[in-house]
Amino acid sequence: MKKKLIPIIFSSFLFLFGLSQGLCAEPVKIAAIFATTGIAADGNASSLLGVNLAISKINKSGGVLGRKLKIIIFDNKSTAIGSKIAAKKAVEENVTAIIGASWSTHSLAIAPIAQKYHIPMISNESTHPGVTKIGNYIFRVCYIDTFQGRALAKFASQFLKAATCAMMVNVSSDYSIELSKVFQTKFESLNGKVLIKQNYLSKRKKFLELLKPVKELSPDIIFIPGQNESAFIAIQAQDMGIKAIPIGGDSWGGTFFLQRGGEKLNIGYFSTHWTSTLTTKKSQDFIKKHGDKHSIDVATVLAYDAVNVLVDAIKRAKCFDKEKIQTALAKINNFQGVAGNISFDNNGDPIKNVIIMELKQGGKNYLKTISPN
Amino acid sequence: MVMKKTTLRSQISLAIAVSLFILAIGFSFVFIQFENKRREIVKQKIVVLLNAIAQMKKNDFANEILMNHNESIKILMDEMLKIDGIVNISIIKPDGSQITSNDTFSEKNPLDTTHIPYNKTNGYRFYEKAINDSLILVYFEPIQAIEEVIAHLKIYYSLDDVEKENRLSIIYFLLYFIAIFLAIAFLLQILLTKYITGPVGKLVAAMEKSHDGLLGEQVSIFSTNEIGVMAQTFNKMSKENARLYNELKLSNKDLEKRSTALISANHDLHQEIQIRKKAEKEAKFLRNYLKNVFNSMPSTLIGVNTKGQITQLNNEALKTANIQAHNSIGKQLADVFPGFKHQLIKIQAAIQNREIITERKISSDISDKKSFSDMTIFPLIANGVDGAVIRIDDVTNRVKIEEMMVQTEKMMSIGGLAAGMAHEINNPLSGILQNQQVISRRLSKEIGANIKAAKKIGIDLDDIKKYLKEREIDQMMEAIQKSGQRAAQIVRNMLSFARKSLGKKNYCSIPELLDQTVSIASNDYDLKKHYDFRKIKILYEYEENLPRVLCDSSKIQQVFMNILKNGAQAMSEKEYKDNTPCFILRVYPKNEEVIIEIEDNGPGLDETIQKRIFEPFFTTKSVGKGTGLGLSVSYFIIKENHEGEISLKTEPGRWTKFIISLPIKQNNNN
Repeated sequence: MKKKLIPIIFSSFLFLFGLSQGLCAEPVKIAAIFATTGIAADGNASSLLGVNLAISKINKSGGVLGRKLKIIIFDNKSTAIGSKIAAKKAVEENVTAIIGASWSTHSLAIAPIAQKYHIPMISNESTHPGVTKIGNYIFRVCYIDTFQGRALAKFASQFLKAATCAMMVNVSSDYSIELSKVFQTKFESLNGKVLIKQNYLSKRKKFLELLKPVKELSPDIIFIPGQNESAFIAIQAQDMGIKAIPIGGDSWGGTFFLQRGGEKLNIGYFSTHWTSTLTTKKSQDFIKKHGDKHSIDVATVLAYDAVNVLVDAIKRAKCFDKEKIQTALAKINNFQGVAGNISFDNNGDPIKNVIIMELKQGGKNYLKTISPN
Repeated sequence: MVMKKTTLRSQISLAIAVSLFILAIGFSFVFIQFENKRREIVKQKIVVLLNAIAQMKKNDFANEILMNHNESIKILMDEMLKIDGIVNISIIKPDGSQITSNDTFSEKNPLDTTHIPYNKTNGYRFYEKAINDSLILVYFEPIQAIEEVIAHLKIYYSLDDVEKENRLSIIYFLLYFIAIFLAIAFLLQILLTKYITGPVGKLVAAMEKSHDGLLGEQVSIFSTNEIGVMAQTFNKMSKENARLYNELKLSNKDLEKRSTALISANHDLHQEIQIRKKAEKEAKFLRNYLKNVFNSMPSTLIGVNTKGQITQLNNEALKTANIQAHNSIGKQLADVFPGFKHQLIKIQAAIQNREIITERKISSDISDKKSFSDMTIFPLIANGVDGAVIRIDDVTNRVKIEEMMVQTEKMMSIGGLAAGMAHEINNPLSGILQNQQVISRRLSKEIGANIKAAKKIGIDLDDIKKYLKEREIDQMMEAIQKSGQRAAQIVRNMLSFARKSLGKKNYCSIPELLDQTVSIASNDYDLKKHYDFRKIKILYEYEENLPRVLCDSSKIQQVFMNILKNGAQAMSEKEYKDNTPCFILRVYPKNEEVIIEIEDNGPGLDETIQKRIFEPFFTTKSVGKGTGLGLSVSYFIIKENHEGEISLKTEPGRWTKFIISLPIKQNNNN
């Protein structure tokens, strides 16, 4: 008897200990690396909002595996160097996972560190194909530029019947560089012609000089795959009297785009990941709950999805071990996200539809969905 | 000497020019220092500017470099290039790869900054470098990202504008100063002309006029300064001068008359003086002339008075007595010239009798050397001056020559006599010797005629031989033969005197001949018998590169042999304590001759032997030992046959030296 009793008592102790630890355990640290200062700050605020919404919802419902989630925000100062420093700090804080960043350039700076220290990282809207290629710990919840660029080129050529194009490339943004490259290849393969390609840097606000030759060439469309500055270019081009139709990438979906002058745009088209008019149940629920919040945009939704994907993985991993979380993340299949279903391919990229939106007299209208197939 | 005329104007102008020049140099020096300082400050400002730009753009660069956004880097560079002066930007990665906005500025080792000073507080470097013909200030700063240097930023700032400005500034400065200095110089010149050189010129002109004779000249200068005072003073002086001049003119006329008389008297006096001076000059010349004549006489001339005191000496006399003229005048003749002690009486007699006394070949022994002199005493008769002039001529050389001539003549006559005698003796002598030989032959048993003759008369030849032996006729026969042969030898030697140049002459090396002779002498039986020649040490002192001498080698060898024999024999008669018998053989050239010296350290020769040593038949050897012909034959060989000289020097008890000189070529031979 005695011999049987000891293990029982011992195991019950262990159970109690484990339970008490679960209840009183320290919250799990999750890093959110976004820009709170610098040129990317206003755009990134939407992403942070999404993270916070998701975290508070999870913590309200008791956390994950009995432990609450604690989000630590690291400011990447809108620069690659800032991103690297933020990633290093996150490593020092011994975080379990990283959410972010928003801009591809920043994610490209963070990813090598996350990979090196085996910290699962999920970006909400870094579309540069190179991000997830850095390693198996890097994931994202959005489509990639390769797909987006092709879809836009196809749209421009077939829907808008554009034959000539001018391109404005932010050469300090990997996103901009990649997206313009893919677009150009596809556009040219559809017998389109790129008449001019103007390079500029992120901080630029005045584009008159660069747009002058564009006006002279008078192309059918003007492709502006920039970051926050895209709105400046589009509106300045319009003000100059350039007749070309402005087309942009997913960064145009941010609320800041309209704030920075996008409202005044007569006409424009852009690709996006999600729109509030989406009819899926998750999307409808989300709008119902948070629709009143003014700054909610596509980045918010994607960040919200990113956190939830992570939580889902932790749950299935049944522990906070980073390597196990990574394995669980890689196995995610048909996760119901606000911005569509998520299944990771071998690179850690989801396969998602591209939504084309129309900007008309300051309003956004859903135009069409282009599926990856 | 012509003085170059300098004017007050040129001197003052020069002073102004020099002052201005020094001032200009001083200013330039200060200005250049100032310019350099200014340039440094400008450079510092540029560095500050570049640093500010770099600080502004550094982070942008860092981000773009980190993400390898080369296009962005180019744009950033283009932005910076818009700033005036910046001509190139380079981004150099640690691996050495670089992005340069202007390829002409790309460097081979862009990261080599070891030679450039490093600003520790600000972390940048800068240096100047000439690139593409322009001076560039290169600013260099590392770009860091997360405490790691990811690249280096280089900004090339052209200093051409700064340099240009610097140069312009210097040129402006120089032009400005030249203008100012010219203005100052011009102004000073005008002032100078007006206030100094002008008035002074007027004054000078007036003075020159008055100097030329225009008295009472007045100057019109109305100035209160020193020149004004000078002008007024001059005017007063000029007036006064004119007045005084007129007064003087009157009194001068009176004086003129008186002075005419004085001048004629003066003239007479002057002529008188000229005549006297001329006479005195002539007298002086004559005195000097006589003194020169007196001094240049080769004879010793001594003037004495009746008391025997010296009154005059010529140079030759001073030389002979080895004294100074002023020391000896007034002294007794016998004190100065000790050799004249015995002549004093004769001098007195000459003075008293007023007749010239001549004394010939007075011999005197001065410093062990025999010398001869002729003395003539001339009494002085004229002008009542009592005294005499003694003339002494050294005739030592003449006497010696006379003696030598006598000797030679004697030798020649003896030679002739000997030759005649030899000829006459030779005939009977050969008869004697021949007959003696015939007698010996006729007594010989080996000849058939002898045996036949003996048998005919019935005598045995052996008996005759026995008889001859018994009566010592054999020995007598031998004596006859020996004596005859000896006589023949003497005759042969004597004939050598007569034969002047019979032998054949060749050019011979004297040292070779000497060496041969020495080796013959070493093997000479006769020599060996009496003294061992090989025990004598022989020192050879031949000079190198001696000319060959035309001579009859066998005769010359005979001479050497004779001398060596004599020397060896002489040395055998001497007892050596410290050293050993020794010959020293010297041969050396002298002018057109070769001198041969054969010296022995034998007993030497006394004077009588010295005198007669070359005489035929003179010998010091015991009778029968020497013929007395050796050295006399040698004498004739050298003197007559070879036109040479042979002489002898000796120091009794120590050494004897024969000196032979042979002319390299002789006149009567080809």
